[in-house]
Amino acid sequence: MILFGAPFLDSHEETLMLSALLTLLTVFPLVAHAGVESAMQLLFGVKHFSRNTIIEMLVNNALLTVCGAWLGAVVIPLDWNTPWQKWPIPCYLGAIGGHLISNVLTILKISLMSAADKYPILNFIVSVLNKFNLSK
Amino acid sequence: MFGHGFLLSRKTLSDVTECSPLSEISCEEGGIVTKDNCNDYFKIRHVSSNIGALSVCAPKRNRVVLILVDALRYDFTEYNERIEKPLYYQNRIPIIQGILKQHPERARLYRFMADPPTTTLQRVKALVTGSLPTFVDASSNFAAMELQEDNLIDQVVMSGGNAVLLGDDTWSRLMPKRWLRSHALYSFHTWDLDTVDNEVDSKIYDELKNNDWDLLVAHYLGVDHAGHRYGSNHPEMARKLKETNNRLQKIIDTLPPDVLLCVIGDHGMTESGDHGGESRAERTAAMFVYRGSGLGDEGELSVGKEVQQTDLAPTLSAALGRPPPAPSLGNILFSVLPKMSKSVTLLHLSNNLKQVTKYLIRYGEESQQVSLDKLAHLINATRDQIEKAAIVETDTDLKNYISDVRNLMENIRSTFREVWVEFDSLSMLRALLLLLLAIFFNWLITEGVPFERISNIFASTFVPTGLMSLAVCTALCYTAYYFSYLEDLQHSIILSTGLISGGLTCMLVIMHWDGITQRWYEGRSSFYERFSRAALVASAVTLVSNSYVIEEGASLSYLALSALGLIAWNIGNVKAVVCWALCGVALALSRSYRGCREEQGDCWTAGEGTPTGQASRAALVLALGSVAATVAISRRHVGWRGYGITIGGVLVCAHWAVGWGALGSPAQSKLMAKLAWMVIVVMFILLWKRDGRGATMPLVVLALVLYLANVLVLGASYAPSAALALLSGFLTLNIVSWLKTDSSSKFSLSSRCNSCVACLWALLACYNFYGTGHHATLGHIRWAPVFHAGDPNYISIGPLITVVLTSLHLFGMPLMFGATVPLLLLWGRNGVSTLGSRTQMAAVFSLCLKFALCFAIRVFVCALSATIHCRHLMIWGVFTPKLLFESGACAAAFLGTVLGATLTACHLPPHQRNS
Repeated sequence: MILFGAPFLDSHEETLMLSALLTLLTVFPLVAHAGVESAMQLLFGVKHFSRNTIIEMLVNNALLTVCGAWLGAVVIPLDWNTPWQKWPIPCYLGAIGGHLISNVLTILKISLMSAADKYPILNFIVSVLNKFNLSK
Repeated sequence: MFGHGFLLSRKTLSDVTECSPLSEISCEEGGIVTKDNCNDYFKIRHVSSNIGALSVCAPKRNRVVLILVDALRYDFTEYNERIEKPLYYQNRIPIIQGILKQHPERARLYRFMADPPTTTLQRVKALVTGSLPTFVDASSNFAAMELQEDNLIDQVVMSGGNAVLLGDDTWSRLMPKRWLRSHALYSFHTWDLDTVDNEVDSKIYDELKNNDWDLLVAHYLGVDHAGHRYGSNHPEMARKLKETNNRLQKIIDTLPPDVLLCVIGDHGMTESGDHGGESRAERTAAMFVYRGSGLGDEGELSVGKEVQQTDLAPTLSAALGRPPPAPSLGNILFSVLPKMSKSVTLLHLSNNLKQVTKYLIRYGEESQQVSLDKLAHLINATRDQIEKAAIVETDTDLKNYISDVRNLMENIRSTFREVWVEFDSLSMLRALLLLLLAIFFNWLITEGVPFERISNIFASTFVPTGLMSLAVCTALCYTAYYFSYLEDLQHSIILSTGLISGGLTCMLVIMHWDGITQRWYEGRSSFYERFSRAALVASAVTLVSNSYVIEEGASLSYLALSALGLIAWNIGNVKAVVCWALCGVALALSRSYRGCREEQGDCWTAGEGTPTGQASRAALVLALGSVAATVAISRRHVGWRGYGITIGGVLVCAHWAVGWGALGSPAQSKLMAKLAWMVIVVMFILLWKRDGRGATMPLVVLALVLYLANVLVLGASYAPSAALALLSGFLTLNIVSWLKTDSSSKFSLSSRCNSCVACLWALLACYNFYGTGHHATLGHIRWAPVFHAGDPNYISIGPLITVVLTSLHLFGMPLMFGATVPLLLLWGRNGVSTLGSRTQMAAVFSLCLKFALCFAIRVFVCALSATIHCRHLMIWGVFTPKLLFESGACAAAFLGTVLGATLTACHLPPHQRNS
């Protein structure tokens, strides 16, 4: 994160907090679920995972969280001078937002899938969602 | 060769920048010589009706207090009892109407009409010079903001008077070193409503009691800032206006009766509190004048009438007993001056007319913007008026005379306004359209046409045909100009050649349409490629927002690192990730070399923005170390050319070491620098010697030579940043070469990832412009590099050297990165170098085009944003310099790619080249 231009010397506490948050949201659940080795392998795309498992959900969570934090940084340089534009806050919000969206997507998918058992028309939407998740 | 499209359209663009900020000459008027012996009535009468006579100072001098309440709109000052529920900005300054009712002979209130652009800097300029606002004064020094023209303050100082400044530091930046006392405060914190005002308040009442000034300027910012922050209809605005009211009350109470108080707004604001444009709400400011012992007759100007802001400078200078400033185009408002006798009035009028005549003549000499007929007509009219002054006897005569002069001046003003204030929107549109066309066709060609065909195109007659048609077109235009069919030679040549090259590329696209469509049909790119393209587009799009332009260094490194990170992720081995991390470290380290610009408040006030002339000891050690390390590492890998690099590096080091500190000897240091330049030039020439071992080596050496040149120009304090740039480029090269070996050994695949690589490379090149301590402001152009090897002005090609060195200092990094574009293809074991030379050439060519295209896109967006924001508050501070610098970087990158590509072509194995 420091490489991306985070102020390391000036506000290391905030940066540390953001790192902790990101770790908590991305790596920690995976490690808890799959163990250290395989978690790393999963994250770096070495080991493949099967669809529709908890692991898929966790990996998606991790990716979307990082994406959210990345997008959050976009608003920092704007000159609106609002208090929430201070350094780590948009990234916090982005990370949490990404995590939230990822979870919502998963829940949506699962509910749709269970609904699709009854109504086959919904299969189309499920496949769209699958595509969206895999493209990440 | 399709680059003709680029080059031409870029030329057109620079043409636009010239004609949109319609500049003008600065006329230092030396002619006004003052005499102070003019008490005699007849003398005055004689002088004022004589054209040839010099202007004469008016006998009586008043002291003037000029209070500028930023963004004081006219309706803020009105008071209407019948409004039951006043809005937040209504009825907040009752004192003005109160005084007008109580003492109608002591006070005046007018609508004070501003000319666009209604931004504070331009307004202040216009107020003190009495001229219309011009944006970039072509003759003025670019680095300094200082006002070069004659102005009110200069007039005061010239006559031995004193001026005092309180408030906004715009004044002290415009007119430094002319104030007796100046309490200027930083005015950039738009969100801070009170600091400046309180500071001014704490000083102004004491100043009013002092006796030693003639002109007191106080600039209050609170109302403007309240408008910017909250809009005009907000409780904060009511609070600020009430404060203003109390302030005025107190000032009027303490004011001596013979002092002229002038309260003006420099512009109005819209309902949302912004300004800068030309709507009526923004243009209508208020002007309130008060004098304890009474003012002159109202004349035609009853309260609430419109007066022009250009009138302020001549009026106030008349009040101060001076002739109007040289560039002023306003007329004197006698209703706001103290009562004066008929002859003095006439004297003022004739001073005004003479000054305008002089200005018209000078302007006609210097510039062709206004047609000569018109100018001559105006000049004659003013002369007639001056002569008429002799027959003015009665009061009614005088009244008629005043209104005649008024109409005449109005006429002159509107003539000049037409020329100065309007943008040349037609030519801007044309240029934008041409650029867009060029970019679009080049994009189609680079992305669409398959590689096998590009080599065929080279072999065909396309290139000669293009060149021929361009030449024919230029010749045609020139003949037409010669026989005076066409008026504007440059424009028509650029336009027609641009159109023709556009048409030619269009033909090419049509001819190869099948191939293009086929490729699109097949093409599916992976995520990281799309991402790096998106990153480039994002970096271009962010140029539209001023805050992103200000922070561009940070956002560019962010985007480049993200794109690179995704590629490294895609490769997926540890080495790539480590390289990426190292690259990130290099970019992070180069952050400490990044400059600051004025708008980045904290960093600027911390004093880091000012470049230091002499490097510190640590910086020197770092610089020497970085150069030595680079040379030592690279020397072994480049064969016999390594010796040249070593000598160059040693000389550069010696240049710094010998010249450093108090002990150093400047002469020897300069000698070393000259020697180093010679070595660099010799190395550059030697590069073209063929040794038949492929083009990779010479390209690396070219990069190193350019690095040495850069380092030499950048000086010791910024040299390590160039090394960091080189390092980041090297790491990126490695990552990219792994990418090819990893994804596939098939050639078509490796060439497919080209465009994303080109985008990445362009991002890095742009970033390193900032990484080496530059910024896209005119104030950041440093002149030191020109003189490090002696003063070039003593030799005949001096100006050329100056230009070359300065532009190398500014755009050396894009040049270096541009020159190394072919390396992206050739680097690594599985590069293209194993393939046939023709395909190789085609690949290099298309990659270079893509790289240039990236820069062209950025320039286009810059131009577009400058067009969109042409009424923006910060257009002259942010967007226009950005456009200039971006086109400069584009030119440098383009030059670099041409250099690299020709070098590659030169070093291809010759026996295959002929085939």
